[in-house]
Amino acid sequence: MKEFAYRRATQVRDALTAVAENAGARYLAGGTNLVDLMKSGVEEPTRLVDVRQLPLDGVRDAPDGGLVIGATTTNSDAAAHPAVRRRFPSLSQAILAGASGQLRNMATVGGNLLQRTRCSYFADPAQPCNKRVPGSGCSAIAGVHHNHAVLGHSEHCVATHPSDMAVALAAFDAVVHYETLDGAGEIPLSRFYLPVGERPDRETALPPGALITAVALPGSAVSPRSRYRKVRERASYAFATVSVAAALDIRDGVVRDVRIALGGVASRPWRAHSAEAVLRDARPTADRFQAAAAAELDAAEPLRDNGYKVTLAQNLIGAVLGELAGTENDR
Amino acid sequence: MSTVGAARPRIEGRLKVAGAARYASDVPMPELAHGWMVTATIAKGRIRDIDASTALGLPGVLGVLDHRNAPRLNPRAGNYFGPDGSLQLLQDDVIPYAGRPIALVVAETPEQARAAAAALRVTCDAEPHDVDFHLAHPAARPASTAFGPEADTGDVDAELAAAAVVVDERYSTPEESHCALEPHAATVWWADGHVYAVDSNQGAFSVSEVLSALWSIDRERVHIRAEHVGGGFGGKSACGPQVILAAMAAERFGRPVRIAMTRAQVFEATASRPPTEQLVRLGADADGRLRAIHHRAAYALSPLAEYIEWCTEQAKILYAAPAIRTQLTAVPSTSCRRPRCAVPARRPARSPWSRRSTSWRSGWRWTRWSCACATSPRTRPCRDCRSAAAAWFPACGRAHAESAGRPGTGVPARGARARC
Repeated sequence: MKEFAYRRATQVRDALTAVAENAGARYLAGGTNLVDLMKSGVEEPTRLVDVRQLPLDGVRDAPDGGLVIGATTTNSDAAAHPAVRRRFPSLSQAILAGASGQLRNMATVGGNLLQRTRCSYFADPAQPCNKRVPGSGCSAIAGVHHNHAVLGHSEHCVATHPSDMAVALAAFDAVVHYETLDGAGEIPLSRFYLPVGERPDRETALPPGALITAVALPGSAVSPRSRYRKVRERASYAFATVSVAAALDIRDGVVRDVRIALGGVASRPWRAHSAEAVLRDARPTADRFQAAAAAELDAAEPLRDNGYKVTLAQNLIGAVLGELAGTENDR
Repeated sequence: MSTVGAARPRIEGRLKVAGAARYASDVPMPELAHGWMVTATIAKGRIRDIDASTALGLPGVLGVLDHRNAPRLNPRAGNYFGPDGSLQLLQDDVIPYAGRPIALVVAETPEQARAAAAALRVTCDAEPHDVDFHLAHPAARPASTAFGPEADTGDVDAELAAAAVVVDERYSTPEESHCALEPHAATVWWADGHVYAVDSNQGAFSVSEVLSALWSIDRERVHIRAEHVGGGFGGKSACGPQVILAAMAAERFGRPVRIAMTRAQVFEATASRPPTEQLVRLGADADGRLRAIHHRAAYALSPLAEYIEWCTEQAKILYAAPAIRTQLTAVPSTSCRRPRCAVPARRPARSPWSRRSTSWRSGWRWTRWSCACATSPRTRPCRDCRSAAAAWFPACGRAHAESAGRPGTGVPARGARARC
């Protein structure tokens, strides 16, 4: 049996020290992903430092009109918070589209960002996987990959990031706050996840031993008019085939601000900057929405069995923007 | 008749809601050792070497069984359709499908056995495999006709041409795993030449029959208990690898041995329903009366054993159309077309439906091979002597001329012993 130590931290500094002094230590929050990976032998920590008791939970207002969500806030609490629901409805919708009620009660906002891909080859220690064992090869490229990435992948890994919540966070320029023994830091979500490249095992820009303390959402005029829509193989308790978080601010018949992020298509939540550029200051017509979606997916490089995701993502972007613009009937 | 409509307490209901019911992996057992299956991670090939030196040095490890040192089994042991290679565990170096058990690590605790299993170093020579499945696959061949000949009545093409309405469709069903709540598990021990197993299965009788054949021992020396079965749905109707391997280990180490499979092992190493592809042509008059049924169907077949997924049986017998033609095709997944594919080739299963139907459709066959009341206890009288099946085995003991063992199954003849 793989033995490991367990320690419950009550102060951030204690947690940082407990992880720094043990090379195999991992933070444990809700454990909804880490514990599964320990059971299957993918993760083999020598020490778990439980951060659930740290005073990092809760949602509070930020001076700029935005929100700061504590890292140990549960997914359920974040989704149910009145300010989240009113000011970032797509974030609440995204969280509620993920997992199950029981899992959302355990899972935390910080842990959600750090969850690992659900690529079945990653989860099976008997199979080659560059993310799990660098240099061992990617089984998915020639294997079962209909749920894998169409954007931003490399010849070394085609896995997707499984989070719904992070897709909505990406649409609103969230910033990840963390602590290390050397002090505090922050990373915009747009740079939080590293490009796949040659080292898919390196997933985030967090410094070693860093502990996520909060996620900040800047105040935004567009965020209250936002929506999250997720397409999956069954109606509940499934990861996204493709999902879209979008927000649309139309004034005087012109798009003043637009945010689009995609889930299920890349190793990270995929902010659709190309699509946004096509729409900004343009008239919000169904044709324009389709053109924007096509511009974003122009960069797609589907694998043998997941070309459908390109079409699906385009249609989903068009549909969600249409709903936000109230132009569904025009299409 | 006051019992009809009256609420009856379920005998084991209280135990189950209280969490006190003991399943196959819960039964207390002194001196119990634990086995952990090591399964093949390639779909086809041969084992070059299994290096157990590290595993054997780990705490609590009693030993490792593999094809070089496992007890020899009777190669003729089989199932209803004849010899079944899927039962021949640890008998040779061939890997016929991904998930095939290729070694068993036995230790004092399940954790020690699992850790030692992870330390086993297995090297294999992979061979090309083909898990493609479709009706027109080059390896396709007519299915066994053990359930009776295909239907070929009337002129299907003429009736279709004369039909007012024609439906011409292709349907496919995926491979399905049964996913019972309780993964397959068994606790097995030997005493005085008898083997005892508490096993999670849907057919204690057939499991005992298979074990007696595999070990070439009298069936009265095989005792199978399946008290609480946490679901099966057909996935536990065959003799599972957990019983065979635990029986081997219990024999070798002289202690009771328990194997409790993981969920992943259940997916890989136990029976599943094969995929099917079905082409259906129906012709009907304007009033809906069927004139023609043409049903072509194919199912994937394990290379290790004969089997029939009987999806055309209803088309054969259920309708009164003047023209009916059925064609059932088996596609063994052994030939080598796709150089690399991560989908494991699995052993097809007996679904609960086909199993029930099998015994009904082919009652004559059972009775020819052995005593009917012995193979289907409590439910049918023996076809030959018509005596009611009172006791569950052997209910009818009259010496029938046919009860000379089941051809091709390795089941020992019982004619001399079977009498009323």
